[in-house]
Amino acid sequence: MTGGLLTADRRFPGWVRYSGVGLELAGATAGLALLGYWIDGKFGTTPWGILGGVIIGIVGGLYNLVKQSLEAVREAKDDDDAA
Amino acid sequence: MPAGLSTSDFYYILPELVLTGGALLVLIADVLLPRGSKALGWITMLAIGATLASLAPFTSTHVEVAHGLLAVDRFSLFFKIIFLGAAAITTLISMKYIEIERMGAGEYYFLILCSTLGMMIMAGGIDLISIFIGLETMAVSFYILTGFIKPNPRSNEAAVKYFLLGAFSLGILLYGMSLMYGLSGTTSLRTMATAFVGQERDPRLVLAVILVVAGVGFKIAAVPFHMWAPDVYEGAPTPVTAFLSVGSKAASFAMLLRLFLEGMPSLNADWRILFEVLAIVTMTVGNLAALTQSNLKRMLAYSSIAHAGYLLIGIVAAGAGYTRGVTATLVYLFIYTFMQLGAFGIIILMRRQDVIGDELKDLSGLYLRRPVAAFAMLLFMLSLGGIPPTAGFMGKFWLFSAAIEAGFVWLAVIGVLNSAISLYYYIRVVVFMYLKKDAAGSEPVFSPPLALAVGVAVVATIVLGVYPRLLFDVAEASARTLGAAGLAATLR
Repeated sequence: MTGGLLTADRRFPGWVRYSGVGLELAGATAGLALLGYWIDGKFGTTPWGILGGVIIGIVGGLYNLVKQSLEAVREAKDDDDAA
Repeated sequence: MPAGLSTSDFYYILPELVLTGGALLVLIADVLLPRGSKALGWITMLAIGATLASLAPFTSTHVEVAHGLLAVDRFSLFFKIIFLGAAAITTLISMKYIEIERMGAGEYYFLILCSTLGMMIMAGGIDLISIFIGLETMAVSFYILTGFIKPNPRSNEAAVKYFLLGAFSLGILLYGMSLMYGLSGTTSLRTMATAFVGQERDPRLVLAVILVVAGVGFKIAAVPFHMWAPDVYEGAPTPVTAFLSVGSKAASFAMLLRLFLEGMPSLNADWRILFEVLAIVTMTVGNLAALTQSNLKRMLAYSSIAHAGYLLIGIVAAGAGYTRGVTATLVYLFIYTFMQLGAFGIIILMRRQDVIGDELKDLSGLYLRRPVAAFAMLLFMLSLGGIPPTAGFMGKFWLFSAAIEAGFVWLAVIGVLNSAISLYYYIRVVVFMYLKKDAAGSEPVFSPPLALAVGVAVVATIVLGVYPRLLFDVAEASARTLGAAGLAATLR
């Protein structure tokens, strides 16, 4: 994910970029949980499939969120310095 | 009908009388005690405690008093507990703040108690007149409290904005109320309800509904009546902002529930649709606007707007005839009080002599300096975002399930999506506290009252998240006393 909406891409206003971050966290968790659920059904690995899916989703989503927050901070500092 | 109050009326309004006495005591004590005495805050706590104790005889009461002006029932009791709890925590978090900002303590605490009194009347009012009196008492107290830091231009600006917009919206509400009176011939909500049956297509009544929704919408800061909230929240003294965001909101929802479920239940097809639209727009605008805020108070203002949107989902479910909607709204208001006050408590912690402390960057490195405070704020942010196992998650869960039960699945879906969007700005706070290391200014120090207040909020947020059943049952019993069931009970 090096391009597009989720970098400090100034073509899009802040609220558009940041609204996606939370949705990604929730979406990744839900999506991977669903995948885990399907795997559980197929291979009888309850509850590890769902558990694994949720954990990976949360970790990945949070990592992205933290990265975005830190970038937002740097962006705000750059704005302050430039002004 | 004999005129005047009877002795039994005075008995039933005992809590309000105790609170009034306490407020006057604070004013007198302010004159008698030496300037800058810390005792005033504790006298206020005493007054609040006495009022809470005076609620005890009324836990299963269900009467109308003062010729149908006020109801003393479980519904008003539930809200009175919320208001007094919020006032107590606000008093605790105000103590240090008042010293730093050099505010006049006596008048400040007096006004806090006055606004609490107004809220209590709003929750118990079942007549247009008494609701209006309660509303005005609360509102005027808040106008003054908002502008309390006189040398600060932002505080003055916030007070003037709040006053002007409040006055205009009150006019709109009053116009709606006058139409309700004119079309029914009475100001009593319960009598009005029967008068309106069969009148649903009357355009004047529809106009009344729209006007009342607009007036109430302003008080709860629903979009598009929310314009005052971010500026007022940012400019007002932080403890006032905290109290405003929980107490005024809870009281306004109590008023909303009384007006619509007791006064106009047969018109629910009209007002339910209005609230549905309001809920969706409010949640979305509130959350999207909060994403780019760097000032914590403004961020919490927009978050508060979004939460009004979630609460309106419960109202929509209630409008479809599901008591579960009312219950969920009551539960969420209770939970919201604690997590919001807790978050503001931490912001007040950051206020020192050399630092204002209400910007996001002021929280940098809090984990290194005050790990307990950082943990508390983490908890409040997670709860506001609706993440298990916090109380906020349970509250949202019940609100959304009430909506689904009532058939508003799309509303619940939009609610969940909005909660997901909101995660960013709540967790961003956590990122600042834990991952940024550049802490500036002097050490933030917990004063004992502040520590007590934040501690209570933390315990409430954890306990209500893990074991919410008790609160839910109490709220359900309270919700059942509203509306037609309530009317039937008093006619026994």
